[in-house]
Amino acid sequence: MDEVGKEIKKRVYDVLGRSVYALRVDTGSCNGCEIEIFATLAPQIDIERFGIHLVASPRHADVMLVTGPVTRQYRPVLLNIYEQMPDPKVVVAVGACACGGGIWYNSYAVEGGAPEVIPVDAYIPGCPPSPYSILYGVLVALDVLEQKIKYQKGSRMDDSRVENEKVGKVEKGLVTDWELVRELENICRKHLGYIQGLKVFHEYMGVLGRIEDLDELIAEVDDSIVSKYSDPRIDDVVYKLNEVVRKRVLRKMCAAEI
Amino acid sequence: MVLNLKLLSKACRSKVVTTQYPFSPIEVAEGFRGKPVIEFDKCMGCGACAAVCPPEAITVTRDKEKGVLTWRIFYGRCIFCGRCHEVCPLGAIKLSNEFELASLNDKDLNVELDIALAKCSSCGEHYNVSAIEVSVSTELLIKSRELSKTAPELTRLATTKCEKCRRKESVTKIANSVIPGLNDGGGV
Repeated sequence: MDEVGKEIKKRVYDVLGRSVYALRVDTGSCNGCEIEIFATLAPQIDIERFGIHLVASPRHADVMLVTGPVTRQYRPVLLNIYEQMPDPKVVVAVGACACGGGIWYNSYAVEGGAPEVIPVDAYIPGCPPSPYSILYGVLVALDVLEQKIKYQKGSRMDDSRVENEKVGKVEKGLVTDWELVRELENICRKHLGYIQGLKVFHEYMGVLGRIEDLDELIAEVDDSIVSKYSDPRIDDVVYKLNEVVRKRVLRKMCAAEI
Repeated sequence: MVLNLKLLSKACRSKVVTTQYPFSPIEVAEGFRGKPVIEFDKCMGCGACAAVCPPEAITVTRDKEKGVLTWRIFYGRCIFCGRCHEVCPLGAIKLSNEFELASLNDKDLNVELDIALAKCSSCGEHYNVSAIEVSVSTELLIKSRELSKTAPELTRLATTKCEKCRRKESVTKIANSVIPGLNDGGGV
């Protein structure tokens, strides 16, 4: 452990005189957050190197990690546990459910998050939060690291029209109409999903934008996209895209001749 | 004892697996679904993300009196499913790699965006669509079809009216076609 870690440990010892003990309270969670909390104890992240230990009794605990949306049955129990903890105590809401109810925020069976029942000092959003975010959140709760996320507010109250170039950057190379762009995008999204599909789509559009000729296009796409991924699914989609563009170009040529 | 020695020799051979995370940044995997970030300059306030958000972390409220559409996300409730990223027609909201979202304050987990509501060109009142959405969709409509020179202006005129005015107009048109000169004396 390097210098900063030793400093953190020393600060914790200075404030408390001993290690920090954390209590994990499951208030009707799906156990996803529990698995991530235990992953922070595992060697890869190893939260114990900062002197943070998990304990079983609320009477030993300084930090309470609440997971789950707090079911109605659990409300009195949670209050009881909170009262049993010695002062000073820190409550950390782990996961979307504990922060604000998650997907059950308006269910009749839950209270809708830990803040509805007890005062919460730190929030760790995520469904579930990754072990790294839990580590970060617990350190934030201990006032060790600066908080990064802040309340933001934007405004677009000006009634100006959007410039044409923002709407569709399509008047380059082989692509001249917006409907073709939509068609290509839909094919990519349908076959490859929105993350991978949009990536391939943007790469394809980049090639389309700088090339005027159809044969040249197919060669260039083979060079830059197909060989880059060497994935049969992407080859298939690129073939489909080429077919669509070919049809569109042929139709345009016919229309021009007539 | 023998088993312990085996473990010891294994432990000696393996490297240190603990990451130096809080002291050095960590690289997340490709396609990691982190904090959804909105680009204020791109959003047109169509509300598609609010419609699909499973825990309703994204909400859109419209105030016709003030003419403001308020887009709001509460990261505390977000489950990072990426549906907003998937449906956004302009690519304004995207999931980033950021995972350090822990905060000491509930309010810091909110992001808000105010967008102007469209004004009806005939009655002058605000209606339930944002002004930017109207202009974007009008431009797309004009662009997607080959229209004559006067048509773009007509399209712009038609799309900037509220639903009440449009209904009134079409009723007047029908009434006029049945009994010519009906609308001259008074309103319908």
